[in-house]
Amino acid sequence: MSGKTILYVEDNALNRKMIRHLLRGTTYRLIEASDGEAGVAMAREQRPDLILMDVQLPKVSGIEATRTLRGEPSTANTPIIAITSFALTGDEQRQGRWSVGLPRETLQSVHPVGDDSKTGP
Amino acid sequence: LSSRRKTPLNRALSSTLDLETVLDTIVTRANQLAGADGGWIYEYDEAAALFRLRANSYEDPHDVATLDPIRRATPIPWGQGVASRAASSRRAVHIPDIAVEGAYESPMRAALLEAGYRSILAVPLLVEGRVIGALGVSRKTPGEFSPEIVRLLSTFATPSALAIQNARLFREIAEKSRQLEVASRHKSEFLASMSHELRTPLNAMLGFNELILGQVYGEVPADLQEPLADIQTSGKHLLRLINNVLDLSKIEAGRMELALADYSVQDAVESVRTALRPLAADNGLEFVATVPADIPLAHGDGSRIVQCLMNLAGNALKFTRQGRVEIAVELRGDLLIYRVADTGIGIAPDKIDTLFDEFRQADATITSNFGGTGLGLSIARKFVELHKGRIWVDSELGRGSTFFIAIPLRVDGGATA
Repeated sequence: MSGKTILYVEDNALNRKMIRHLLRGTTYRLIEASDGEAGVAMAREQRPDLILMDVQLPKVSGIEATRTLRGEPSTANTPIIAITSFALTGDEQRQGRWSVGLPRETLQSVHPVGDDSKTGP
Repeated sequence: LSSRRKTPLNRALSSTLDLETVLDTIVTRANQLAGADGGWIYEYDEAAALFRLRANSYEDPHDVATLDPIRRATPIPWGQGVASRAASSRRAVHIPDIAVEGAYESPMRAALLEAGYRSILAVPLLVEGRVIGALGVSRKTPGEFSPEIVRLLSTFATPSALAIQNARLFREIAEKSRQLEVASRHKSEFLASMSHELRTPLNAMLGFNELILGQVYGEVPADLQEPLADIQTSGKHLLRLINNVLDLSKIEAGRMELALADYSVQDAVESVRTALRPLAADNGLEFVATVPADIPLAHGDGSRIVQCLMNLAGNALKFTRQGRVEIAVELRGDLLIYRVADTGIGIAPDKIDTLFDEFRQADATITSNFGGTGLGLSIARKFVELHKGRIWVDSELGRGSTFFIAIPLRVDGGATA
């Protein structure tokens, strides 16, 4: 169960750095995209095992990107987790998320996971 | 004026601010009673020094078709025409024959002669000595107007002037309130975007600090643990403040909408208890929730109700040094009553009235001792009001406080603040 690939789609460079640091020293391979369009392209090419998706993204929103990926056979079953920062209120978290099948619980803070077998889908 | 004729006119003036209707009524009556062929009211635009048509009326329908469009399209400059003469002399002016060379200079002259008009009588419309406009009648026969008709027309001047004045005031107020609305919208848009801008860097600060605390960068020296935890606590407090200000600004701008759905009262209370249990444990307080098992599904914005209960229970836990905090729910008829009771410091009677206002805590020194944003209760009140409910408190200094939220079990309609 090692060497799984996580795609993180996030426009804020500091937030990307945060997850990069968080996953340092784990066996996960992190790939990053800074907007929804690049995120969708990267998901198609690299078939990540998990996608962490910011909701507000340039070019194509996280909601829209999720909808696109859900509609394509190669990514329809890839787990996608909406990441909202500490910084979002309930309202912003709610906007339109349920309609595209993003999980009900969002990651409000992320803790490093030493043993990746715990998080296998 | 017979009383029979007076009544509908007065009614028109007192019952409507619709200027066109009022002035149409006046000019039609004036025209009829003066036995004239045409009548008009011009409003004076001081800034542009122009008289602009507000109403006109003609006995001959053909004149309506030809003269009305010309009058509407032809403002008359100050200094020309009979309206201007009446206004500048502050009295009735008549022109026995407009066909006489030099008797009448006006952009309307040709059209009036074409339609067969010969004589005009005009009275000024004044409010407190200020020119508001002019009222006039025209006949298709030359000759002076009798003193009775001059007097008659003058009686129409005051209500016309007042109607125009009222309409102006009304327009002014409407314009002012529109400006206020725009300003308030700008303010709330500013706050909304500002709070997003404020939260983005705060998120990085809190996130990296949490990574440090989570030992992502290696072991944290023992004497750094506490200050790092203080950074985290203060950062989260700042974040709550920002979020609260955003919520309030949205509510005040009328842009806060409830997401109405069925929700479980048990789940709502349980999520509050789960979230606040650590705080209760830290303070050594008993923290209990009592929800009867037979309470049916409620209809409202469950997440906002949770937010209200979090604010109330959070306060209770903060302001209680020993004893217990209890959340209880009760259904009385169609009314769902949430109760949050504590054995804390209580609230002085003279502080209760302003307790739910923004940035009010019962005592300014409380913030330094207990923390808090001072916005929790006012936000709770706003959300409860959006649910068409009521929030209140029973309290005794030194004995504790009990906050009540009473909302309909099922809130209907799309309520917006």
